[in-house]
Amino acid sequence: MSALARWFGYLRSQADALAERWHVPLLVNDFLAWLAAGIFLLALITVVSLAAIYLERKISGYIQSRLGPVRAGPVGLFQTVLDALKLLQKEDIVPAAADWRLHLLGPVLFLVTTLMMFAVVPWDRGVNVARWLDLEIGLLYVVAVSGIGVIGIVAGGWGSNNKWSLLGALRGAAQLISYEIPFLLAALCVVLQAGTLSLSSIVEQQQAFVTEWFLWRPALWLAVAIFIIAGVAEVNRVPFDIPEAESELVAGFHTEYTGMKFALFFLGEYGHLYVVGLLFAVLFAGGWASPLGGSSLPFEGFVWLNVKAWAFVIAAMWIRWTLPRLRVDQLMEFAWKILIPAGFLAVLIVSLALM
Amino acid sequence: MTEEQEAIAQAARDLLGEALLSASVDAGGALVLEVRAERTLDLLEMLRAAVQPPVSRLADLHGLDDGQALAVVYHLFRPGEAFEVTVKAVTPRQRPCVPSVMRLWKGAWWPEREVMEMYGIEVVGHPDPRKLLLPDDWQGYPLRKDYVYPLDHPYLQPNPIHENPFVAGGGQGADTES
Amino acid sequence: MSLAGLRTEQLAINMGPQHPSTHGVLRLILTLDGETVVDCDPVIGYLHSSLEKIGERKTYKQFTTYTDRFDYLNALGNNLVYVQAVERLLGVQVPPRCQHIRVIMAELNRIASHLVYFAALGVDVGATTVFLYAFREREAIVNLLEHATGQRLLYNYLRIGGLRNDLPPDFLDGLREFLSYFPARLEEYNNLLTRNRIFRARMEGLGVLPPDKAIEYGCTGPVLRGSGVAWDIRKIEGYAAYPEYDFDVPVQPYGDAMSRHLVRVEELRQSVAILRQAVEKLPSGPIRAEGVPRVIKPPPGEVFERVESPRGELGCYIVSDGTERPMRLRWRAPSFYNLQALREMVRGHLVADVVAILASIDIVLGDVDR
Repeated sequence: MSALARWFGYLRSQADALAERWHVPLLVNDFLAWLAAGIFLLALITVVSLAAIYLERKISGYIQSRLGPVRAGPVGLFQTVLDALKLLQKEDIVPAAADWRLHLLGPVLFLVTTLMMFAVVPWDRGVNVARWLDLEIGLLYVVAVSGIGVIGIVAGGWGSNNKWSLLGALRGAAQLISYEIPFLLAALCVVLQAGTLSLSSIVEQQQAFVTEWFLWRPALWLAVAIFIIAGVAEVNRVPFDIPEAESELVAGFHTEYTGMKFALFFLGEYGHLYVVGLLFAVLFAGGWASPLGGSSLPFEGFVWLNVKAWAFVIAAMWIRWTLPRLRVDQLMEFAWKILIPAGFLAVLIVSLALM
Repeated sequence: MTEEQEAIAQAARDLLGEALLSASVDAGGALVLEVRAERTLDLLEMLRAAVQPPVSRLADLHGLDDGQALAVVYHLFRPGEAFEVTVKAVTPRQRPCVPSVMRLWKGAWWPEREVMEMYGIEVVGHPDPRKLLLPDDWQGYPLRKDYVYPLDHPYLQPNPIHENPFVAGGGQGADTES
Repeated sequence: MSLAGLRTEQLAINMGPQHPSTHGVLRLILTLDGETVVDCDPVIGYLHSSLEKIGERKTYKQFTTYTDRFDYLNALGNNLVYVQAVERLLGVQVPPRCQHIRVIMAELNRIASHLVYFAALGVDVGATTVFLYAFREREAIVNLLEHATGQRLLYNYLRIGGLRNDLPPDFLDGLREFLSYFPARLEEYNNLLTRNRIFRARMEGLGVLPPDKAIEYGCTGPVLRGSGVAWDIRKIEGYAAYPEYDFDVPVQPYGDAMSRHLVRVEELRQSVAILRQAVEKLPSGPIRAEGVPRVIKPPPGEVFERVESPRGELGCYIVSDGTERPMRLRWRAPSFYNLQALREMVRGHLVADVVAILASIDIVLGDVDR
């Protein structure tokens, strides 16, 4: 009981710190603070996914010299909201011979692991939703949780009772697992540079724009390149989108999904893309630090973090609509024969630079 | 007929004797040789080997029905040139059959299947005598002149959703004569 | 347990008639050994419309509308081969202006068809943006052709003995404008696809077809020229006004999918060169031959006429028995023969490559099935 009280006390003090930081009135009680944090995360991922899907359609439209959504609201802003509403009211069809528990587990696990990754991201100075969970190992936590997300894909593929879905899911799993290693190696370079696994500490070390951002350190440039490539591969985007696009010409592991479950896969995918963008901002670009010097306005750190994360997301979309797709064996070859040795090389370079 | 075509026709006559039914020139200036179906391979091999330069490229293979007899037509060219020899292998209607030329050209694989299903000409020695374009259970040989359309075939029935309530008996009209 | 005792089976997989790739209703039955394709059996006939039988029932004039429907991406080329065949049966010579306009139309159609090839290839390989860009250029061509013929896809513009109508007065200006910006855009698309490392890794060494096999299977067009054999009916037969034009026939030696792609890219450039010359050379004069009867009854005879379609050697064989309907009308479809060779090309490749190889042959099911 006392441990729980200590927990809540700590959360209350965090909520107070947040309120003080953002100059808002104190929240009423601890439960509301806890609830607010949860609602904030859920709302964030929903808004982020909807915004990301809308941006994707508009950006792809403009790259392809067409307009994208224009009819639903001014410049088509309500398009994804209406699409989400449409998906909500669709019939949920589970194949008769499929395992309905696995069929349900797939998208749920996929989305939940993405949400879990949001928990450790430092949104602003002193504002960290899961500070009380002792996330001195924040970075390790993120990579571990994204590994669990792979189970969601395999569950989805197996639970569809469809040979093509299963093959697509297994290929997706192979791709995700293979590209986690260079992802982790690139993040490891940052850990070596910063000396800590805690994400908020990493951001604390990158406060000044020109001198302290890890993005500008030459020793880390290989790590930056590997992080970007492995990050795009982790989110199943072209040029690495074998699991969902081609996969022997059928639609891949989410063939047999309809309605809200399909929407959950989509939310999870775009949420994951946003999380990788946030990680890029946190690890290399100073997180919530403003490039213009010290930040004093409320919400300013949050805004800067999002600017950097969305820059990464838009760049990923740009890449998607430009490049063709790698074949599955070329993709695996690229991961194991090129990226992983490059990752080890990057770690070596950073270690040497730090000596 | 040019001299060269005359020479080829003469060589064919020497080789085949009575089996060569006719030699003429068509409206485009190509040599047309009609041969009895049994001696087809002899003539084709002669054109590929004995004629110099050889007429060895098969451009097209198809069937022909002129109301009396059935025939399989081979359009042969000199590779890379416009010199053409058209060979018609004529076979009677009662039991039509021609030898397969797949051992000379692998490209005869599909055209001979099409001839088999459209004309009912048996291509002797073809390794893959399945239907090509028609459904597997189609009866009859559509490109023959005496083919009767099976108007009661299930594939040819009008779709009930096309019924026109303003016309008695539905709106699906019969195909009109042109 | 040793691996030698493991029983392995070959798996037969169906790439059904409906594809996400856009080539039409084609069914491929692939026999796989693990991931490698051992055999490929195309099943066709889903688009069979018995057009050859219809040719025996319609009069010569009525059939021109049907000729568009064979290879619908090359409608004017189809018109051309049929109309030339009937003109040869009748012994009719068309005036020079008509011949040059036929060349212009055929080359515009060739560019449009190759742009569709680009688009479908982009979609198959994953670069969807190329699809939109290629269709944007094709839209310009289709607008030009609509201005001249009234139709966007199935033009029915050529008539026995001439054309349906003369070119509108601003057609040539529109064509000049198109030719002024198109080569630069072509270089742009080349950069997006042909010079892209990922695309080259997807296409190089794929679907190799040796030249002797290509000739034996009856392959023609870019499939044959990508294997090193430089046959082009425009040079061999010299029909319409082609002998008066100066153009090259592109050839690539390796016989893989990349070679066929490069041949088509170069053909686009050559078509632009031909159109540039045509715009300068176009003579004035009548567009219909004189002495073409109203009811066309060619004297008894036969003819086999060939043209170069974007897919290869397109042939039309007509047997006339003196009446107003043909006795036999045969369409030598290039895609039909090219598709046979697919079996040779996919042996030993992975399943994911079959899509790229099929895209590189560039078939149109209207041609294959007729």
